Amino acid sequence: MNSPEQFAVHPLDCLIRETLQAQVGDAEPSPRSWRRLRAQAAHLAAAKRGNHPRRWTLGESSRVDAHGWVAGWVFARGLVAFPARIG
Amino acid sequence: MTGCHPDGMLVLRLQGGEIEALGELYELYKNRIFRAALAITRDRQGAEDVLQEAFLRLFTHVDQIRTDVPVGPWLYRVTVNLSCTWLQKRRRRFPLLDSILDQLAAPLHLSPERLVERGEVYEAVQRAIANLPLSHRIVVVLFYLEGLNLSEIAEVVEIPEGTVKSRLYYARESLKELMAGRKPLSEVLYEFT
Repeated sequence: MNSPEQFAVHPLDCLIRETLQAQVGDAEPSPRSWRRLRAQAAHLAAAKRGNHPRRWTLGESSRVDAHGWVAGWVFARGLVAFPARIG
Repeated sequence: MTGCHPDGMLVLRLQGGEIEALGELYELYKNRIFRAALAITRDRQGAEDVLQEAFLRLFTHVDQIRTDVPVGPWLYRVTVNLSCTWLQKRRRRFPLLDSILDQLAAPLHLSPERLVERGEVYEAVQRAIANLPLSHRIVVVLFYLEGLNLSEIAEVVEIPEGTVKSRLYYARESLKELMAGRKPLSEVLYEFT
Protein backbone atom coordinates (compact mmCIF):
# COMPACT_ATOMS: atom_id res chain seq x y z
CA MET A 1 0.00 0.00 0.00
CA ASN A 2 1.14 3.53 -0.83
CA SER A 3 4.10 2.14 -2.66
CA PRO A 4 5.07 4.17 -5.73
CA GLU A 5 6.29 0.98 -7.38
CA GLN A 6 2.70 -0.24 -7.40
CA PHE A 7 1.87 2.61 -9.73
CA ALA A 8 4.82 2.13 -12.03
CA VAL A 9 2.63 1.98 -15.14
CA HIS A 10 -0.06 4.32 -13.87
CA PRO A 11 -0.82 7.16 -16.33
CA LEU A 12 -0.17 9.71 -13.58
CA ASP A 13 3.43 8.46 -13.34
CA CYS A 14 3.79 8.86 -17.09
CA LEU A 15 2.32 12.34 -16.83
CA ILE A 16 4.76 13.42 -14.10
CA ARG A 17 7.73 11.89 -15.90
CA GLU A 18 6.82 13.44 -19.24
CA THR A 19 6.15 16.83 -17.66
CA LEU A 20 9.55 16.90 -15.98
CA GLN A 21 11.24 15.81 -19.18
CA ALA A 22 9.40 18.55 -21.08
CA GLN A 23 10.47 21.04 -18.42
CA VAL A 24 14.19 20.39 -18.73
CA GLY A 25 14.05 18.92 -22.24
CA ASP A 26 17.45 18.15 -23.67
CA ALA A 27 19.02 21.09 -21.82
CA GLU A 28 22.80 20.96 -21.62
CA PRO A 29 25.31 23.14 -19.80
CA SER A 30 27.12 25.71 -21.92
CA PRO A 31 30.58 24.73 -23.25
CA ARG A 32 31.97 27.70 -21.28
CA SER A 33 31.07 25.83 -18.11
CA TRP A 34 33.78 23.19 -18.62
CA ARG A 35 36.42 25.78 -19.52
CA ARG A 36 35.64 27.71 -16.34
CA LEU A 37 35.72 24.52 -14.27
CA ARG A 38 39.02 23.41 -15.80
CA ALA A 39 40.62 26.78 -15.10
CA GLN A 40 39.46 26.71 -11.47
CA ALA A 41 40.62 23.10 -11.02
CA ALA A 42 44.04 23.94 -12.48
CA HIS A 43 44.30 26.92 -10.12
CA LEU A 44 43.40 24.73 -7.12
CA ALA A 45 45.85 22.04 -8.23
CA ALA A 46 48.62 24.63 -8.48
CA ALA A 47 47.79 25.94 -5.02
CA LYS A 48 47.84 22.35 -3.67
CA ARG A 49 51.30 21.76 -5.12
CA GLY A 50 52.49 24.98 -3.52
CA ASN A 51 52.91 26.76 -6.86
CA HIS A 52 50.28 29.30 -6.13
CA PRO A 53 50.67 31.97 -8.79
CA ARG A 54 50.22 34.78 -6.28
CA ARG A 55 52.74 33.41 -3.80
CA TRP A 56 56.25 34.91 -4.00
CA THR A 57 59.31 32.77 -3.97
CA LEU A 58 61.89 33.53 -1.32
CA GLY A 59 64.19 35.33 -3.82
CA GLU A 60 61.40 37.47 -5.18
CA SER A 61 60.29 38.49 -1.74
CA SER A 62 63.83 39.50 -0.68
CA ARG A 63 64.28 41.51 -3.88
CA VAL A 64 61.01 43.32 -3.19
CA ASP A 65 62.14 43.90 0.40
CA ALA A 66 65.48 45.29 -0.81
CA HIS A 67 63.72 47.64 -3.23
CA GLY A 68 61.45 48.73 -0.37
CA TRP A 69 64.40 49.55 1.86
CA VAL A 70 66.12 51.59 -0.86
CA ALA A 71 62.91 53.51 -1.65
CA GLY A 72 62.34 54.15 2.06
CA TRP A 73 65.86 55.43 2.52
CA VAL A 74 65.57 57.82 -0.47
CA PHE A 75 62.22 59.12 0.82
CA ALA A 76 63.57 59.67 4.36
CA ARG A 77 66.65 61.40 2.96
CA GLY A 78 64.37 63.71 0.95
CA LEU A 79 62.34 64.53 4.05
CA VAL A 80 65.47 65.57 5.89
CA ALA A 81 67.01 67.47 2.98
CA PHE A 82 63.92 69.49 1.95
CA PRO A 83 63.51 71.66 5.14
CA ALA A 84 67.28 72.19 5.22
CA ARG A 85 67.21 73.52 1.63
CA ILE A 86 64.31 75.95 2.11
CA GLY A 87 65.49 77.04 5.54
CA MET B 1 42.40 -3.31 -10.56
CA THR B 2 39.94 -5.78 -9.04
CA GLY B 3 36.79 -4.44 -7.39
CA CYS B 4 37.28 -1.04 -8.94
CA HIS B 5 34.29 0.56 -10.67
CA PRO B 6 35.01 2.19 -14.08
CA ASP B 7 34.29 5.54 -12.40
CA GLY B 8 36.79 4.50 -9.74
CA MET B 9 39.55 4.28 -12.35
CA LEU B 10 38.89 7.91 -13.24
CA VAL B 11 38.80 8.84 -9.55
CA LEU B 12 42.20 7.16 -9.07
CA ARG B 13 43.62 9.14 -11.99
CA LEU B 14 42.15 12.31 -10.54
CA GLN B 15 43.70 11.49 -7.16
CA GLY B 16 47.00 11.30 -9.04
CA GLY B 17 46.47 14.88 -10.20
CA GLU B 18 45.22 14.28 -13.77
CA ILE B 19 42.73 17.04 -14.55
CA GLU B 20 41.81 15.22 -17.78
CA ALA B 21 40.14 12.55 -15.61
CA LEU B 22 37.90 15.29 -14.20
CA GLY B 23 37.00 16.15 -17.79
CA GLU B 24 36.02 12.52 -18.48
CA LEU B 25 33.85 12.36 -15.35
CA TYR B 26 32.33 15.70 -16.32
CA GLU B 27 31.45 14.38 -19.78
CA LEU B 28 29.87 11.28 -18.24
CA TYR B 29 27.67 13.07 -15.72
CA LYS B 30 27.30 16.70 -16.81
CA ASN B 31 23.89 16.37 -18.49
CA ARG B 32 22.27 14.30 -15.74
CA ILE B 33 23.59 16.58 -13.01
CA PHE B 34 22.70 19.73 -14.93
CA ARG B 35 19.12 18.56 -15.63
CA ALA B 36 18.56 17.51 -12.02
CA ALA B 37 19.81 20.90 -10.82
CA LEU B 38 17.66 22.64 -13.44
CA ALA B 39 14.54 20.72 -12.39
CA ILE B 40 15.11 21.64 -8.73
CA THR B 41 16.25 25.26 -9.11
CA ARG B 42 14.24 26.02 -12.28
CA ASP B 43 16.95 28.49 -13.21
CA ARG B 44 19.50 27.90 -15.96
CA GLN B 45 22.23 30.06 -14.46
CA GLY B 46 21.60 28.51 -11.05
CA ALA B 47 21.92 25.03 -12.53
CA GLU B 48 25.20 26.02 -14.22
CA ASP B 49 26.56 27.29 -10.89
CA VAL B 50 25.46 24.12 -9.09
CA LEU B 51 27.07 21.91 -11.77
CA GLN B 52 30.31 23.86 -11.55
CA GLU B 53 30.45 23.73 -7.76
CA ALA B 54 29.55 20.02 -7.63
CA PHE B 55 32.50 19.11 -9.86
CA LEU B 56 34.83 21.45 -7.99
CA ARG B 57 33.87 19.64 -4.78
CA LEU B 58 34.53 16.32 -6.51
CA PHE B 59 37.98 17.65 -7.35
CA THR B 60 38.76 18.99 -3.89
CA HIS B 61 37.36 15.96 -2.00
CA VAL B 62 38.60 13.32 -4.43
CA ASP B 63 40.73 11.65 -1.73
CA GLN B 64 37.57 10.77 0.24
CA ILE B 65 35.69 9.23 -2.71
CA ARG B 66 35.32 5.46 -2.92
CA THR B 67 36.62 3.80 -6.05
CA ASP B 68 34.53 0.60 -5.82
CA VAL B 69 31.16 2.31 -6.42
CA PRO B 70 29.88 4.71 -9.10
CA VAL B 71 30.41 8.42 -8.50
CA GLY B 72 26.81 9.20 -9.54
CA PRO B 73 25.10 8.94 -6.12
CA TRP B 74 27.81 11.11 -4.52
CA LEU B 75 27.38 13.72 -7.24
CA TYR B 76 23.59 13.64 -6.91
CA ARG B 77 23.88 14.16 -3.14
CA VAL B 78 26.15 17.18 -3.59
CA THR B 79 23.88 18.51 -6.36
CA VAL B 80 20.76 18.23 -4.23
CA ASN B 81 22.45 19.98 -1.29
CA LEU B 82 23.88 22.74 -3.48
CA SER B 83 20.52 23.25 -5.22
CA CYS B 84 18.80 23.61 -1.83
CA THR B 85 21.42 26.12 -0.70
CA TRP B 86 21.03 28.04 -3.97
CA LEU B 87 17.22 28.18 -3.53
CA GLN B 88 17.51 29.29 0.10
CA LYS B 89 19.91 32.09 -0.86
CA ARG B 90 17.61 33.26 -3.65
CA ARG B 91 14.59 33.18 -1.34
CA ARG B 92 16.44 35.33 1.18
CA ARG B 93 17.45 37.83 -1.50
CA PHE B 94 14.34 37.89 -3.67
CA PRO B 95 11.37 36.56 -1.65
CA LEU B 96 8.76 38.31 -3.79
CA LEU B 97 10.28 37.33 -7.11
CA ASP B 98 10.50 33.73 -5.99
CA SER B 99 6.85 33.54 -5.01
CA ILE B 100 5.84 35.06 -8.35
CA LEU B 101 7.94 32.51 -10.22
CA ASP B 102 6.41 29.71 -8.20
CA GLN B 103 2.96 30.91 -9.13
CA LEU B 104 3.81 31.18 -12.78
CA ALA B 105 5.84 27.97 -12.91
CA ALA B 106 6.35 28.54 -16.58
CA PRO B 107 7.56 25.68 -18.74
CA LEU B 108 11.29 25.97 -19.37
CA HIS B 109 11.61 23.97 -22.53
CA LEU B 110 8.59 23.22 -24.69
CA SER B 111 8.32 23.26 -28.46
CA PRO B 112 5.30 25.13 -29.94
CA GLU B 113 3.61 21.90 -31.12
CA ARG B 114 3.81 20.37 -27.67
CA LEU B 115 2.54 23.57 -26.08
CA VAL B 116 -0.55 23.35 -28.25
CA GLU B 117 -1.08 19.63 -27.67
CA ARG B 118 -0.43 19.19 -24.00
CA GLY B 119 0.68 22.58 -22.81
CA GLU B 120 -2.20 23.09 -20.44
CA VAL B 121 -1.79 19.75 -18.73
CA TYR B 122 1.99 20.12 -18.49
CA GLU B 123 1.61 23.60 -17.10
CA ALA B 124 -0.81 22.41 -14.44
CA VAL B 125 1.44 19.52 -13.43
CA GLN B 126 4.51 21.78 -13.42
CA ARG B 127 2.70 24.23 -11.18
CA ALA B 128 1.75 21.40 -8.85
CA ILE B 129 5.34 20.13 -8.75
CA ALA B 130 6.66 23.66 -8.15
CA ASN B 131 4.24 24.05 -5.25
CA LEU B 132 5.39 20.86 -3.52
CA PRO B 133 7.63 21.32 -0.47
CA LEU B 134 11.29 21.35 -1.58
CA SER B 135 12.06 18.02 0.13
CA HIS B 136 9.22 16.36 -1.83
CA ARG B 137 10.14 18.05 -5.10
CA ILE B 138 13.69 16.67 -4.83
CA VAL B 139 12.40 13.12 -4.36
CA VAL B 140 10.01 13.53 -7.32
CA VAL B 141 12.82 14.81 -9.57
CA LEU B 142 15.18 12.00 -8.61
CA PHE B 143 12.50 9.32 -9.04
CA TYR B 144 10.74 10.47 -12.19
CA LEU B 145 13.39 12.44 -14.05
CA GLU B 146 16.60 10.71 -13.04
CA GLY B 147 15.06 7.25 -12.73
CA LEU B 148 16.69 6.44 -9.38
CA ASN B 149 15.05 3.70 -7.32
CA LEU B 150 13.88 4.10 -3.74
CA SER B 151 17.06 2.85 -2.09
CA GLU B 152 19.24 5.04 -4.34
CA ILE B 153 17.15 8.11 -3.47
CA ALA B 154 17.36 7.20 0.22
CA GLU B 155 21.16 7.08 -0.10
CA VAL B 156 21.36 10.36 -2.01
CA VAL B 157 19.03 12.36 0.25
CA GLU B 158 20.15 10.51 3.41
CA ILE B 159 16.66 9.60 4.62
CA PRO B 160 15.04 6.20 5.26
CA GLU B 161 13.45 4.39 2.31
CA GLY B 162 10.06 4.62 4.01
CA THR B 163 10.30 8.42 4.00
CA VAL B 164 11.10 8.40 0.28
CA LYS B 165 7.99 6.27 -0.30
CA SER B 166 5.77 8.53 1.75
CA ARG B 167 7.08 11.68 0.04
CA LEU B 168 6.36 10.18 -3.37
CA TYR B 169 2.91 9.14 -2.21
CA TYR B 170 2.23 12.64 -0.88
CA ALA B 171 3.42 14.19 -4.15
CA ARG B 172 1.16 11.93 -6.21
CA GLU B 173 -1.81 12.72 -3.99
CA SER B 174 -1.15 16.47 -4.30
CA LEU B 175 -1.03 16.14 -8.06
CA LYS B 176 -4.24 14.11 -8.09
CA GLU B 177 -5.97 16.79 -6.02
CA LEU B 178 -4.74 19.56 -8.26
CA MET B 179 -5.78 17.78 -11.42
CA ALA B 180 -9.13 16.88 -9.90
CA GLY B 181 -9.71 20.56 -9.12
CA ARG B 182 -8.96 21.43 -12.70
CA LYS B 183 -11.04 18.77 -14.38
CA PRO B 184 -11.91 15.13 -13.60
CA LEU B 185 -8.66 13.23 -13.12
CA SER B 186 -9.87 10.20 -15.02
CA GLU B 187 -10.58 12.46 -17.98
CA VAL B 188 -7.10 14.03 -17.86
CA LEU B 189 -5.39 10.70 -17.50
CA TYR B 190 -7.54 9.17 -20.23
CA GLU B 191 -6.59 12.03 -22.57
CA PHE B 192 -2.98 11.51 -21.70
CA THR B 193 -2.81 7.79 -22.42
